[in-house]
Amino acid sequence: MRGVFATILQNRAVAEDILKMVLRGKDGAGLAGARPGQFLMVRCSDTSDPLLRRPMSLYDVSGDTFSIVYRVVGAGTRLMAKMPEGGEVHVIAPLGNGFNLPPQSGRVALVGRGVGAAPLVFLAKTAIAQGKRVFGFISATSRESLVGVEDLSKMGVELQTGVDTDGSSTELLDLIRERHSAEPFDYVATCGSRRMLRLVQDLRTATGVPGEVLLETRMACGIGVCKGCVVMTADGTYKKVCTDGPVFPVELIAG
Amino acid sequence: MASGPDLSIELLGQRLQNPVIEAAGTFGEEYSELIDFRKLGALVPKTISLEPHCGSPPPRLVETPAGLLNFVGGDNPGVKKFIEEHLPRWRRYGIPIIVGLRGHRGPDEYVRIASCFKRGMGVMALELNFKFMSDCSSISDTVSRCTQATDLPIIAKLRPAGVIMTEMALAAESGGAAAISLVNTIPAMVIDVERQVPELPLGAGLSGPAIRPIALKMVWDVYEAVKVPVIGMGGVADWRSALEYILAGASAVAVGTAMFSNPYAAIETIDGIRDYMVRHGVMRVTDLVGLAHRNLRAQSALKGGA
Repeated sequence: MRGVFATILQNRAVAEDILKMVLRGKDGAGLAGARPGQFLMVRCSDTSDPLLRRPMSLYDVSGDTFSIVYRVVGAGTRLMAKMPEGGEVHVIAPLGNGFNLPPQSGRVALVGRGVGAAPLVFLAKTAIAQGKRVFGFISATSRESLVGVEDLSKMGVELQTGVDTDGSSTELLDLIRERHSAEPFDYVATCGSRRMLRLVQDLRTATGVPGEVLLETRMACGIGVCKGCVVMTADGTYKKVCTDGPVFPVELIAG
Repeated sequence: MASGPDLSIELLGQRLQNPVIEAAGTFGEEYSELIDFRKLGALVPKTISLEPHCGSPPPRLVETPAGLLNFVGGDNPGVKKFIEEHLPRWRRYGIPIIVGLRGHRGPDEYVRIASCFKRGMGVMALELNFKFMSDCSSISDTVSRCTQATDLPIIAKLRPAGVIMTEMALAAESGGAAAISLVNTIPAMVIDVERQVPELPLGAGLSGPAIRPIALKMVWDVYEAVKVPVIGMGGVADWRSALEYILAGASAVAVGTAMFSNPYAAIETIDGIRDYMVRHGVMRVTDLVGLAHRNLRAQSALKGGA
């Protein structure tokens, strides 16, 4: 990991309250070697308030640029939304572990909701580059906030979307079950919804398909020091989302 | 100024190259990828207890205005693992180490942990973290017993909690503390108004710039009250805040919460102190310790108030 001053190439709304920020490291090094699932700690203020950086999953890494997609939910993200294109922001990156696409997997399913779908877009790009067949199942509270669907389509992901206001995603979840029954996936990655996590856990229990979940949680340091970001795992221990994660095997996490 | 300002201090018989320490609970080897540890005055690893502790259930953190409320709950590997695995790694940097310890179960535990350390192990002092102990006689008694359990100097780290800080500091000093460090996090709260309950457990503590003026006044008062050196902390984020503490009487300062958002805070603080000394023509940083007290007295004398 390193601290990087980055130029903001783009910082634009992609939906209501959702923006995409594209960055280029000023030292020219970009984030080569960053893996899908990893994240940045973004410094959103030059003052002590808000105090903490904000964790943001990588949406894409491309040459010397990298991007994030974020929702404005509070003081930190409000400041991020106002950062001007051409301006500068400091990030610590890349952090955390990444998704582990099994080398033999031929059929990969990505299951995400809202802004949680963002890291799956980077994962999709990697999977497609490895010649895998990638299926995307993305839901949101509105058509407009289906994050990443254009990029996913363009890269050749076979996409299904669902819109619901209560988080149920019932039709989409049923569809995933059907598709997996008809022709099983070899690996499933999920982010952004407890219900989706539970589905992926069920599929694993029933059919053994490996699955991983990317967790999001409050963080202070983002690098493993403060121990503020722990999650209880099924083996009875606390694990740090920032360094032991943010990606975990689905069976380790309570649904 | 041919040789440049002298930032070194002598603390508890140990020379530190500068008065900037990083605070317990906020520092770890992970930062070595971002900053050069060998520039720091001293290192303080995570406070240890006798047995390993897994810490508190999440959530453990809440951001507050210019602050951080935490109840990490003493997540640490325990003294045995610390000595066997962690201490050797910390020693590699060649920077003086202060080990912070806390007895979750009471004074006996402090003594048992303290007895695991002695001179020659690469540790310059032990810092007793009195996070949940605030009555003066327990503090004095625990410090005294720890001074007998080890030949290392004992620092008493105090937390504002009901009892007047200067009384606790005097009690620690009378028990044999070789230095007083303050403040530990301040008892505080955030309430989730949608769920209508506190966000963190009742023992949660606040750190960061929000507490600085409060902690600073406490350092001021303790400096007046005790004879032993004072180590100041609480929202130290840059050279200016570090100098506030030094001028108020701190022989050394600790940078803590600031590192989370600015990993370079301690290094920038050291450089900033040096630049300040050049600007003000100050030869030795020790000349600044408690200077604000002397200036204030001089001011009152001029007004005929002395």
